Amino acid sequence: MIGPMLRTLALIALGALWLGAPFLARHPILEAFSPRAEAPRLELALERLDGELPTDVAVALWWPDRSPKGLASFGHLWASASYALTPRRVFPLLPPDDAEQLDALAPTLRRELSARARELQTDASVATAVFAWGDADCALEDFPHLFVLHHTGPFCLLGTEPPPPRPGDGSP
Amino acid sequence: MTPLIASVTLAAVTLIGGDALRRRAMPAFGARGPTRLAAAWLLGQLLLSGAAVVCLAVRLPLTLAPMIPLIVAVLWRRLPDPDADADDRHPPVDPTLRGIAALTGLLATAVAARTPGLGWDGLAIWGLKARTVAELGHVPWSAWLDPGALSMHPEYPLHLPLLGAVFASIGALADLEWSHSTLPLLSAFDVAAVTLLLVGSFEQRARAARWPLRILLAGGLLTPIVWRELPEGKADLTLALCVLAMTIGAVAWLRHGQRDALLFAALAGGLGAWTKQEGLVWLALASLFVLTLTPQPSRRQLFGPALLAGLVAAPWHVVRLALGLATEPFAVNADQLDRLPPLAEAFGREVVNPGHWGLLWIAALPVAARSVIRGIRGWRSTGAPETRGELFPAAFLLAAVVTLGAIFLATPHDLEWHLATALDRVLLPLWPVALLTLGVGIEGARGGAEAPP
Repeated sequence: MIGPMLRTLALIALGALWLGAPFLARHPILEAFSPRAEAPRLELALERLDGELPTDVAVALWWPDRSPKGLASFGHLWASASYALTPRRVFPLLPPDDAEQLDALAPTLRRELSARARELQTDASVATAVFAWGDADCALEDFPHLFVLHHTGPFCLLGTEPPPPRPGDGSP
Repeated sequence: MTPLIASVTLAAVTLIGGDALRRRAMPAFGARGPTRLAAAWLLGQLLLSGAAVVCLAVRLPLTLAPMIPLIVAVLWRRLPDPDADADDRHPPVDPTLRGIAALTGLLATAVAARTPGLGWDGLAIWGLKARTVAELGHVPWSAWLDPGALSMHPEYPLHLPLLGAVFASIGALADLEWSHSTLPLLSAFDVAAVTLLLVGSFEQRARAARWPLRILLAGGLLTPIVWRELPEGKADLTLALCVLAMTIGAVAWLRHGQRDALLFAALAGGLGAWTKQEGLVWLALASLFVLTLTPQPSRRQLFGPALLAGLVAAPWHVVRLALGLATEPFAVNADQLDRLPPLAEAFGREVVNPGHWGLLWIAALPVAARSVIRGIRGWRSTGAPETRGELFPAAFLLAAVVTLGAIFLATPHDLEWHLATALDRVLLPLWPVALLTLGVGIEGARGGAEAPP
């Protein structure tokens, strides 16, 4: 009598543990239906510039530390820009090896972008957008549009326009 | 809401074509209920992405691709279902299991439809390709050959991007813009199909262990990482469906000698290799086990299905090697054995992480080990088909986990970074096989019997 009861109780306890364990951390199903702030997305900013961007856009990277993570991030960066600008063509450009300073990099980038544009037989206006990774300042402000993206957080848009407000940072 | 309606409509077309293909090519497998629906979805995907390849090759609009499944369905509509009068061979319906499946499918679709945008990898690797092909109407090989495109993994197969492109092209006919939820919706339908396959398998075992299997299914479907990855729009859940379908087909072959099930397993394994690189590894591993466990007199029957799997799996890998698309580097040397301790520690930490897996791996790994020991003993002593059926999923699961460890050992990437970014999601395609192994283990412990699917 007691044996089957204990076995049943043990089964119920195990079942409850099996069903409950996924909820030890906040379950993604609950998160999916929670109200959330819409994170600023690359596409939203690009929509504001849509009429100003040329048919083809080059993506370059300020990548001073040459780390593998930087390269992976560059891939994401290029893909994001391509995705947001589809069906425009977006050309990835790896930075030169001796790039140490942003100020020194800017003219090099310009040359690289122009050379690449010629190589790809595209319009020279290809060099109108530069996407920089990390903490770039305005040294590249001679480029019409400079996007600074961060891997996980929101991005800011420098150059011709002020950065868009970020949710939760007190901006109006 | 309209992208959701368009996707559901196209999914229905996919199902119709897939079911016609199953009835024609493998009528004795999955003739009823949840297995039939899941098999139709998987085979319909294969038809649709194959049709997309044909459209791209002969420069036809991708909007014509869904015509192929419909034509297949119309051409083969008059074929009789050989199992139509064999209802008594099928296990009784378990409404609780089917209720869990329905709820999971609805919930997955709702989560996917609410997705605000793809994750970084979903966007870079899958979303970009799908959207580019949809909007350009061709594959931009030159862009993908650029070294800067390495991180979008141009070497990954195109099954999911093509499927996403077809769905988007049909949506565009209805003036719908590209929707971020297209790829997550495909993942949601894949999760629903995984659930249906598990229900079909568990219904055959439910007489022996009804409530434990119901609780196993409900808990297993709550696995957090499934729901975290679903809105990302990646291929891991599609691969999970292929791996489970391949396993279930192989088990039915090994236990009951069902050649139709073996054909289904071959197509599912081939589709897995056409979905993601790991799919090729899982197909090779499963083929090795099937070859080993199939009795000598029956091995000649493996040739046809193996050829079929190769026909689906191989073309992409031939094309990418011929084009010189960048591929993941491997470097094996003795120094990398130093990685074993941190690797074992990372795997250990991952499998006991309830925020990712609940109790899944904590339960599945010991049960798999027990099933392997029981299966090998039974296979050697009696050679009974049941022991091979119990041995296959457990041995495949353990071997797959060990293979993943070996891959991490051979990668030249920084191990800590690679494990942190990849370990949880490369385990994800094995999630339904872990659930199946637990189900088979419970059945073995309760002494239940299995009928052919």
